[in-house]
Amino acid sequence: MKHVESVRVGDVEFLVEVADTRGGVQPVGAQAAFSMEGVRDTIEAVASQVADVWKKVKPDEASVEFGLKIAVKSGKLTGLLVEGAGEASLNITLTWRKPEGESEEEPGKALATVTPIAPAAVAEVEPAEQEQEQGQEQETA
Amino acid sequence: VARVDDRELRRRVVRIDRADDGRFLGTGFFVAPGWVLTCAHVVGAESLVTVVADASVHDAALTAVIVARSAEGVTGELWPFPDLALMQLTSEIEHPCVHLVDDDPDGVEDIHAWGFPQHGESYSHPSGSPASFQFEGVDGNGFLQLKAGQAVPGLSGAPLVCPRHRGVVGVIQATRGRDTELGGWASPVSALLSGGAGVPRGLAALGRQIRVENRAAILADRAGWHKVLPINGAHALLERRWDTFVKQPGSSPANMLRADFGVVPYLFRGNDLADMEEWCETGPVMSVAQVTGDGGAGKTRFAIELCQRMAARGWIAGLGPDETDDWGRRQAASVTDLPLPRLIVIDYAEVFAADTLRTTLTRLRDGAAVLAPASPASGPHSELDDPQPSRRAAATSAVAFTVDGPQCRRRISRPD
Repeated sequence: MKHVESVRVGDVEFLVEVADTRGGVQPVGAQAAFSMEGVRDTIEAVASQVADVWKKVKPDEASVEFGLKIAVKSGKLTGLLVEGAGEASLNITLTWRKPEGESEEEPGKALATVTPIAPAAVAEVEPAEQEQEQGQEQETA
Repeated sequence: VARVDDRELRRRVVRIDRADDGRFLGTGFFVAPGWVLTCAHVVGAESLVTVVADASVHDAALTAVIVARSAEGVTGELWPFPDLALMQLTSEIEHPCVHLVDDDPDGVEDIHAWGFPQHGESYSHPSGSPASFQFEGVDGNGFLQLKAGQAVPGLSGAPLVCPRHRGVVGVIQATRGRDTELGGWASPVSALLSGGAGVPRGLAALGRQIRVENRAAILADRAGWHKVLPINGAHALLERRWDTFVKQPGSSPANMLRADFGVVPYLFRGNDLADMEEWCETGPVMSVAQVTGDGGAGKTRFAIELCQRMAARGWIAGLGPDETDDWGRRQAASVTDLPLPRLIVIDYAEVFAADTLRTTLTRLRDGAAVLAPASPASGPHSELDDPQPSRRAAATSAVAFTVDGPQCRRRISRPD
């Protein structure tokens, strides 16, 4: 079951198709526009976990792709990890690339690419504090 | 069974907004003078909210203080039973109230809500709309479980009217699927009025106060609440023998003297009529008046004038059929079961067989209630020239058999 919710980011309000994970049961008090904060937190949490692994393994190059649907939990938008790209509202690719000429001890770079499937749903990914120190770069497609 | 008049119900419903930024929160409704009931999750942690009533009731936004509420829950999840909050207006205004009923819906008829669901363009400022459901039963938490209706965000706090109980039995609280007609849940009004498990002590104490104030408010405006639940055709069940005289070619001048045309202004009996109006409105649920007087003294005109006044107050008022009118008798029999205030004039009561009169009055007594009192008024033809004294005695005996307590007796005399 899906439905459309209003989302506000700064002064911009747009609509997002949201997956219903509660079987439809919810109180029917009026709903205000949601924020994307919960979705951003989901992406950051997943990226942080993957980066921890790469820091230990130190591969020359690695990447992870995952899809996110947007769902509502406890009155807030959050990310719902899904298997197929067709199911997702956002496709996210995390890439690790060890810079040329750097020793194995030096940290590599992690690139995060976020591909929105729903045209209006653009999430900006901000690097976690630890990743910023390691020179993480971001690209938003 | 009654239908629900949405325009009248809407006058008792309010929109609730946040006081600081005006953000729409949900629905509520007037339960007693100055008091609004809604769901606890609608007001959340707010201590002050803005209340917007129907423009016909009050044309400016009002402020209300949250006085009592049930236990808090998690935002976005179902809140614990009973999920109710009471707020009091900070300014005094005149407003109608709903009739609160301490009972579950009967489960036969559709139950009806009116609130402010967020639809399409009116997402942030919905204009309000009705919704209907069927009652499925009571769930394990004590909520009324509803099916076959769509509960949309914004509807929380809407009154749930049971036409058979002729009152509000619940407060819409949650949905089983906002995009479907799976139904939802409502908090029972009985939790507020009678307390019980899960109802905080403060809310229960206030609920007892609201029970008293709600009853007083509804009795003071009985006709107003009955407008919310009209019964089609009810007024046609009794003969409303009053008409306007229109002079036609060949009209007899004698027509101008007929009581039902009321051509001659009705004078000098204003106090008698006022007394009888008060008898109707303040008497017990079933009371009988005997109106006596000499032939030509004006008993029929008096009855017609009283019926017109009570009809204007929302009563089902008129003359019952005579003994020979089979169709009229069947119609009048329906009046005995009507859940509305009734004034039934039995002209020439002595003509009726005592058994017939006793049966009719007993049915009226059994069907009478505080919100639907029954007031039969009977008038013997004439005391002085009574052709059937024994039958008049039998009719009087039938009345005495049916009604407990003192009866109203009024004698109509010719004006000096």
